[in-house]
Amino acid sequence: MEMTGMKRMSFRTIHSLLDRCLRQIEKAAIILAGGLLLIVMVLVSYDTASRYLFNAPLGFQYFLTENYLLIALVTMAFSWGFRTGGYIRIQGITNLLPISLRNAILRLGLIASGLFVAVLAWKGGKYFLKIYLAGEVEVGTINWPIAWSWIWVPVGCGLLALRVLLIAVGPDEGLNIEYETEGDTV
Amino acid sequence: MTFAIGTLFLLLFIAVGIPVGFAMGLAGVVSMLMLVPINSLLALMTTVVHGTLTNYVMLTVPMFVLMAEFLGSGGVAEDLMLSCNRLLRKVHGGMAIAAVLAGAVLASASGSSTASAASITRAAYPAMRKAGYAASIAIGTISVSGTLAIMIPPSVAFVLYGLMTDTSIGQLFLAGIVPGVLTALGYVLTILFMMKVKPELIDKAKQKMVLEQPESKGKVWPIVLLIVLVLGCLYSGVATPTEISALGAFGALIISVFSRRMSRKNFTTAVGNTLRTTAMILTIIFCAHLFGYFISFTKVTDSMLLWITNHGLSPSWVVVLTVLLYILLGMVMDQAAIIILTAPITAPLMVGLGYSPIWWGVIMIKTAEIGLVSPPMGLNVFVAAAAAKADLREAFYGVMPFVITELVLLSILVSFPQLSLIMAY
Repeated sequence: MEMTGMKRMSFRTIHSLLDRCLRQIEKAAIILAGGLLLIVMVLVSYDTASRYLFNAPLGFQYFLTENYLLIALVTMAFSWGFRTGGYIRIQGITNLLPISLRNAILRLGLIASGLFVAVLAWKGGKYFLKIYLAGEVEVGTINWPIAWSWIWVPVGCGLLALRVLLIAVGPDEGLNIEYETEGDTV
Repeated sequence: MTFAIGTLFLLLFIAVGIPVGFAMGLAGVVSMLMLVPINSLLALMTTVVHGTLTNYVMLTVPMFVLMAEFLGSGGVAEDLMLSCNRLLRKVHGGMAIAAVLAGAVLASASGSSTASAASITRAAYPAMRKAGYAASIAIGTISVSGTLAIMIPPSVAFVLYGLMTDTSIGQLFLAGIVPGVLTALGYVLTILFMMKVKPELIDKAKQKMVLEQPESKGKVWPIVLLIVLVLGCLYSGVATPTEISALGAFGALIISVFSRRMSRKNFTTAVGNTLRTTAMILTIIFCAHLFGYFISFTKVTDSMLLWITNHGLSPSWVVVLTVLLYILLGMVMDQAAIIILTAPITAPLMVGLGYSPIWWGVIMIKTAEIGLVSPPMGLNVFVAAAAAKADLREAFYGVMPFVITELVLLSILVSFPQLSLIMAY
């Protein structure tokens, strides 16, 4: 009995430790994402204004934004966004079930989701390594290293997979974060 | 048959509470195992995230959301409401009409209908209640005023439709102008009708008291300038929708800073909300692409067109049935998820039947607009009721006359495609 209690305690401690570590990484990632969001806003606005007003566009803006900044700002927000309720879930049917059964189903769904995202991260990571080692570049006025556009896939999806799996095996209250509807999609 | 199995997987995953994006991705993966070798599937999984997120047009999503968030933080809705109310305060029901007008103007500079509904609620609800408006008509009006942002450009919903169907976002924005203006007019007529039929919806004594108070003024020129910039660039074709979205977000930030309402907390909340929403939408989109690959492999659109031809079903009936399906879906599902999930199926179907994808986009967005205020899942009603701390049942009761108006308007837009296409071509 005491042994089970200790095991549960240690699992909770490990979970809480992992959660705290991940939160710190998410915090750094979301600050980076926010910074990139503002940089992109200014960069695109400046490029547009200088193109139409002074006929002097920033030649690098389009490629830089499309292949590096956009993917970085979005993937860096994945994990934090999910933890703070940034997902759509339809719970009409699951809400009719007894709480223990509902939570078990939600956990299974999250484990499947976490594994799915982990595969995306793994495959993205393998591809990143392949092109990084090959030193592939996009030739132009600037030689753009392609691998640094791909690095965001394993990092962003990896963090998201960890977050989803941590929620799946974590306390019950973490399973039902309601999305903050203000500022929603459409 | 394979398509039916895949769809069943998707519905099952959604029903058991898997987040919609992941449900689409998982259903796509599981269903594709029936059609392609696992190596091909893994190759698709390798490229789907990078391929989706390295598309310049995707930038319109975070930028238009950021623009709406900055405008919300900057208290623009309050200024608009004060100014519109100043124009209409002597009209019976004028404050409700002012809320619609403020919603329409805000929609011209904001792409997010729920952000718009929340802003208008904060700006209009306390004033409407103080002026003697019943809670039901106040919340009903505010909820539908917010939905105008989904139709009047710029609109995130049109961006999503354009991204999922490879339709010109610029043309979609232009196509939304006439239906958006018609919708606002429809709301105004509904308010006037309600005031005639049920004058007791406003407490006249309270209204008189408010009318005797001095008028307040709000600064509207910055927002008008932003609208001129957005719509002007769009209509003249000077800039692309992506460029306009960045300029709009930047303009909204400047307006909010100069109005001195943008605190550090408001700023970080706006950026945080934008990133959360963006991550959510783009996760759904790349997962939907996986499900989209499955749909392409099944060639379901060709099969559906063949089935329709073989059974002699007229294109008009297909449109009517699909619209009805969308109205039903809108009652139980999130509008963004509906657009992302179904547009790649229904848009090619409509094009195959000889209809314009631009027109179909307008019709889909109109059904989404109705879904935003339809019980039991009308998101805008939830947002407005929550922001106003009002009773949800009363809120849905108040929105019903507007839903009827919406259905009439939808029938008009379905019957007269020219109304949607006149500005687009």
